[in-house]
Amino acid sequence: MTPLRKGVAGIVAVGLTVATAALSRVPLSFSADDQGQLRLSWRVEGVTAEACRTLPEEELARLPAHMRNPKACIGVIASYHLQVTVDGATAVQDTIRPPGARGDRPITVLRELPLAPGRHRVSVRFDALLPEGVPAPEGVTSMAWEGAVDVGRGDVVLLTLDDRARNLVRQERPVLP
Amino acid sequence: MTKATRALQQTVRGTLARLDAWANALYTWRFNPLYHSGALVVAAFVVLLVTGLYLLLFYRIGAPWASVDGITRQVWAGRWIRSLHRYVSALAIAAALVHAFRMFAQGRSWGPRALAWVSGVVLFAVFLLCGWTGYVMLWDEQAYVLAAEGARLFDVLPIFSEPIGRAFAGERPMPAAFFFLNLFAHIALPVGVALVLWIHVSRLARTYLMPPKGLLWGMIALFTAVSVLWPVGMAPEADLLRIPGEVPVDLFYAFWLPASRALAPGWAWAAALTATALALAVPLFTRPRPERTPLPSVVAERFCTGCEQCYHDCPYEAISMVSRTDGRDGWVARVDPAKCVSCGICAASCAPMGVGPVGRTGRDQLADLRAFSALAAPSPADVVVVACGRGAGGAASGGSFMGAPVFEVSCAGSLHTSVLEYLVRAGWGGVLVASCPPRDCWNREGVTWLEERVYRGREAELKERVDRRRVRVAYAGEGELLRLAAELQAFRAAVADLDRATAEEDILIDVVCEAPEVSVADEALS
Repeated sequence: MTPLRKGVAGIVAVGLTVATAALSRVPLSFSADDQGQLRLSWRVEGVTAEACRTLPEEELARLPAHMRNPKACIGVIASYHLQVTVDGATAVQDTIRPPGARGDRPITVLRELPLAPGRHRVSVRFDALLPEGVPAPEGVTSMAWEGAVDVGRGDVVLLTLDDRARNLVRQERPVLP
Repeated sequence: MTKATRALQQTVRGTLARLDAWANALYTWRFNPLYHSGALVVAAFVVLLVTGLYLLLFYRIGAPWASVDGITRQVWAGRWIRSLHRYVSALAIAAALVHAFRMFAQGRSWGPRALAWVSGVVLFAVFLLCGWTGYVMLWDEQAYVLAAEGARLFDVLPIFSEPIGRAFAGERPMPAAFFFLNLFAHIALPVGVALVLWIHVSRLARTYLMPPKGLLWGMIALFTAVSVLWPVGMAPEADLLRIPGEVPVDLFYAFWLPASRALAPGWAWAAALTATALALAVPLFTRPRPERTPLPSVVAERFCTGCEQCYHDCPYEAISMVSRTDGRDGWVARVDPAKCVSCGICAASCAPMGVGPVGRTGRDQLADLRAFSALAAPSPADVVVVACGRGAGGAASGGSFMGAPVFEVSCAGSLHTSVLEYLVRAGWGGVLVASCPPRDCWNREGVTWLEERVYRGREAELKERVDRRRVRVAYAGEGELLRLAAELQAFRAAVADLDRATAEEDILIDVVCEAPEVSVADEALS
C-alpha cells in the first residue's frame, strides 16, 4: 500500500468517525413557531350522585318479599365539562367521561394548547354534569380558574388542581423536596 | 420472491459492491470494516459494557443530570469515557444496519437463516430501546423530549389506567423511582442483548464475534481520539415547564422522533408496526419460489468413508456423524435439511465426492467440467478462470473474461480440488480461481477452506502432483472487476514464464471410492 493510499485511508477513517459522532448530536428544533403553551393537568376522583325515589305500594307488591326496599337508588357517576377560553375565544369545549369499563375510574385531564408569546386572558371551567334533580354530591363538582398570563417563547403555563383548595391553580416551577 | 424485492436486493447489492470495492482499495479485504460489520456490533457492545460500568459508578438516580454533569467535568476520565460510550453506541447501530443490508442483499435471510434474521431484528430493537433508556438517564432536554414523546405514544394504548404523560406535565418533580426503573431497564436490556445474540449465532459453527485485532484496536483508538478531542457536552437540564428549543439529538437512536412528533400517536404506531412487520417478514419476501429453491445436501452413504471432514467444514453445523446402518463399521455423515443452506461447501470437503447438494457435488462438477472442456479446448499458454458465481468481480456472468474461458461454480468454497487437478492435467497453462474475499464469502468459510485445500493440505486437498505454480486463488469483491483483471494479467505473465504445459491423455481422477459414474443424486434417489 502506497503512503498516499495510507494517508487517504486514514483521512477517510477519521472522517467517518467524526461523521458518526456528528450524527449523534444533530441539533433539532422542537419549539414549533417559537410559541408558548397552556398546559392543563389534573386528576380528580369522579363524583357519584345518587338518584333515589320511593316505590309505590303496588310496585313493591310485585317484588319478591326479600327485595321489597321502599327506596330505590341509582348511582350516577358524573361526567365533566371542560371549557377553556383564551382571550374570549373558546379553545376547548369538551365532555370528559370517567374512564374504565364501568366508568368508575378517576378522571385525568392532560391538554396542551399553543399560546403565542404575550399576555393572554385565560378562563378554564371544569364542571360535573349531573342529571337534573340530582342533588350535588360531596366532592369536586366545579372548578375554575381565570386570570391573565404572560407567556414567553417556550414558556409553559401549567394549570393544575390544588388538592387543599379543591380548585384550579396556576402551578409554579416544582421545587425539589 | 417478488420483483420489487429482487429489484431492491439488486440495488442494495450494487451499492454495497461499490462501497466494498472502495473500502478494499483503502483498507484491504482483511480490514474492510464493511465485511466485519456484524463483529463490529459485538465489539461495540463490549466497549459499551466496559465504559458503561465506569459511568455507573458515578450515576445517581436522585440527581441524574447533576451526576452526569459531574462525570462530564472529570477531564481525565469521565468526559471522554462518556463520549466514547455514546459515540460507540452510534457505531453499533450503523454497523448493525450495514450487516442487515448485506445479509438482505446476499439473500442470507430465509430458510434455515430466518432464525438469525428474525433474532437480528429483535437485537436491533433491543439496542434502540437500550439507547432510549440511556438517553433518558441523562435527564437533559433530549431526555425530556424522548420521555414525553414515549409517554404520548404509550398513552394511546389501553394499557395504563391513567395517562403516563402526566408524569412529565410538571406538577411535581420527577420521582427517583422513575430514574431507578429507567436505570434498571438500561442495565437489564444488555442482558437481553447477550441472550438474543446467543440465539442469533446459534446456527453457526465457529462464530467470529470479534473483528481482526487491527480493525478492533483501530476502531477503539479512533473513537477514543474523537472522544478526547470532541467530547460530548451537557445539554441544559430538563425543565418540565419549558418547551425545549433546539436540542442535540442522536439520529442513530432518535431518528424516529421528528416523524413521530409530526404524526398522531395512532399513525406513529401504525408506521412503527408496519416497519417492524416488514423487517420481520423479510425471510418470507426473500424466499425463492419452490422450483428455484436450492436443494439441501445429501450424503451418498456408499461413498462416505466416515472421515468427518464435511462435519468439520460445514459452517452451519448441519452435518452430524451417525453410526452406519449398511453393515459396515464406523460413522457416516448425515445432513439435517432444516439446517442446510445448500452452500455446497461439503461437496468440496469430500475426497470421495459422496456429499453435496444435488447437482453440485464433486462428481457433478467433474461432469460439468467434461462438458466445459468439450467446448473450450485447453490452451497450454493461457489461463482458464474458475469463477465464483456470487462475487469475484462478476467474472462468472459471461462465458469468458478478458479472453480467458470461465468455468462457473456456485461458490468458490464448493469447488472440488479435483476440478483444478483436471484442468491442469488437461493442459491449461494455468487455472485462476476467482473467489470473493474470505470475509465476504456468502457461505461464511467457503473461501477460507478453499485456500487451505489448495495451499495447506486440508482435506480434500489439491494433490501434490499438481503444479502449484499453475494454480492461483485471486480475491475480488463483486465490484472489483479491475482488481480481478489485474490478477489475471499478473497470473498470465507468471504462466508465460513457465514451461509449456503438457496435456495428459485419459485423465484419471482419484476419488478414493470407486463407482464414479454414480451421481449423488442417483444414490439419494435410490
